[in-house]
Amino acid sequence: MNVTFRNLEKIFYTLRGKVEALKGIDLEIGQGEFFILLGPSGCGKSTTLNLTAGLEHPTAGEIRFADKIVSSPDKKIFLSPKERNVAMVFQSYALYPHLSVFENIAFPLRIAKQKEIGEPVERTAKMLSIEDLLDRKPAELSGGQRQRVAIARALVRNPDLFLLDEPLSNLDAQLRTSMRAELKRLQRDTGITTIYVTHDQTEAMTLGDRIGLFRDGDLIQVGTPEELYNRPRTPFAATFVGSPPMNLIAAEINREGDTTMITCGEGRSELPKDKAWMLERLVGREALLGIRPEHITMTTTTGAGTLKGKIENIEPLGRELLYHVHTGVGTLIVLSSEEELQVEDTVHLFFNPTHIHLFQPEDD
Amino acid sequence: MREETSKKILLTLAAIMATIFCLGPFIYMVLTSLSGNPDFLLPTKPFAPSLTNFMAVIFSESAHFLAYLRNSLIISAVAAVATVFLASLAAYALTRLSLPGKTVLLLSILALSMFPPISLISYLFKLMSALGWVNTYPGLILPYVAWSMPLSLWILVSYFAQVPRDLDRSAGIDGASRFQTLIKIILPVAAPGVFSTTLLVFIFAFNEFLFALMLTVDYRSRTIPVGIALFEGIHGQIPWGEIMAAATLTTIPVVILTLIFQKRIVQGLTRGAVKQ
Repeated sequence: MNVTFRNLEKIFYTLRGKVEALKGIDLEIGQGEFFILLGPSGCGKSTTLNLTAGLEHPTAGEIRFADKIVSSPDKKIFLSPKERNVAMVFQSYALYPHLSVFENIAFPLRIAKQKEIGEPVERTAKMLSIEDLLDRKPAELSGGQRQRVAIARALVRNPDLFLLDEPLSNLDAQLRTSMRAELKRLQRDTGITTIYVTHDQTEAMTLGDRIGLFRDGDLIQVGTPEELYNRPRTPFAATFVGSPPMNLIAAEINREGDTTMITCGEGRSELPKDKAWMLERLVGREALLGIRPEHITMTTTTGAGTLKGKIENIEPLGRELLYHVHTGVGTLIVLSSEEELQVEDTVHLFFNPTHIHLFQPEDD
Repeated sequence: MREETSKKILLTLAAIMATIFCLGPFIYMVLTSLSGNPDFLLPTKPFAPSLTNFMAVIFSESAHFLAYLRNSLIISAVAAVATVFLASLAAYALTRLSLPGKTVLLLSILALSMFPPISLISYLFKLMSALGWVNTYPGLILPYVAWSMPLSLWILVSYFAQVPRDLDRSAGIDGASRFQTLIKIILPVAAPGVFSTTLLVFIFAFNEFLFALMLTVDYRSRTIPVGIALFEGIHGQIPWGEIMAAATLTTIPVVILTLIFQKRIVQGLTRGAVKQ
């Protein structure tokens, strides 16, 4: 089932005043897609999920499931969660503490007065390898097991839409990685359209077919993980996606005959022709240059167009090292496998021109 | 180490004193009920245990003890269940729905319970007379429900507020209506609060004297506290032994109920609901 948001708005009125949680979102999520809502806390991603589930009423706009309108204040339509056939996994798991694992998973079926209970519960439990835990109470389970029960409860009645609200954030790092792979497999096997909320860009990159990046109630960019990583549309998108984050430096762009030169500090380089599309609006103005730490080459010898700097700090990451290099235009982060360098060494940085990103500073 | 020990001894002593202070009258009551005379503490009249008083209370037809006990049990049980049911609905609304002026509402409900019962009793009697409910079960149940509502509501609101909201949301997504969520999720999870509230209202109604005195006439609706107080002595004497025997018997249901529910009250049922 595909999901469409049209100009979706949500305003909360609190004692401290009006909070615009969502400022008119337009988005279409395809049938069977694993879609990630990504952003820092308070950006509107969870609100979007709650509006989709029917836990909250939108202030304006419209939500459609396939061709059916499920929420529209204009048309006075609002379907309850029950009528939407969605399933949701909460960050807190939200297991019913007084019920056994079996009864937790069976709960949606019992509410729906379904006759067949045992078979679907056992089949779903097997799918999540929790068939040995069915008699236990939630208090007797580990965090990872609770999470599996929560997922089983969500999947047991074949929902049209699967919603997950930061489901892995309470698990330890190792468990998170394995659950991530399992969620991806489950989603592929069941083919259920899935909307997944997270603030963790690694989760977003590894799980999502597509990602919607939120900030302050706005949808900043929508695209595949590759698109967000390789073609961020704003400085915020550039720094939020990717770890360590992209370096952003003030730069100046000038035409010199046929070539376009980019200058930042004493560093200068010619911009490849294929970046020309970015340039028209930037020529002769202040611009922000973005370069990922892995796209900076660091040498001890100076060369044409390099930027001089001094190593401030070195963080070993195992296979590679993370260098903090102080330059005339600010401290840059460089990812390199070079192991000979020491703190306080002078180095020369070269930006690979094909990996340069350019932004207008006001495109925050 | 020495300080620890002396602290322990002092605390134990304090606990023993408190226990004696609380249990003293109770022990006196039980001993009096078992002896033929209330003066058994005097050396001149030795303590001779017998069950005569109990037999007299239970089997005397004029004492109506069993009728009083039945009235008390029925009235208290119905009042407790009805109060907790109504208070649960109200507590659900007060903790789960966005109502304007929630705090004001809760405070004004609490203010209602500040009225001294004696100031209400004459109007209550008029009301019950008009309804024809004097000397009936509803005539006592209704005032008991009204009177214990504020306290019940306050206890349940605080327990319901501790039930994580994600459980409601999850139940909603699983297809449960609000009423189903209350019955199947919130009440069981807040069970310790529900049980203690039920028990408190039961004990209040079971012990209540003033309303019962004013609104009942005879054994058809009279409750135990009034019944005991109005025990008629033979030959103009106050029948202490029988009164104490009746009082002893009366405490038994309350003690049993407390022992049954104690475990449920203590149990922390929210354990494992959500990641803390």
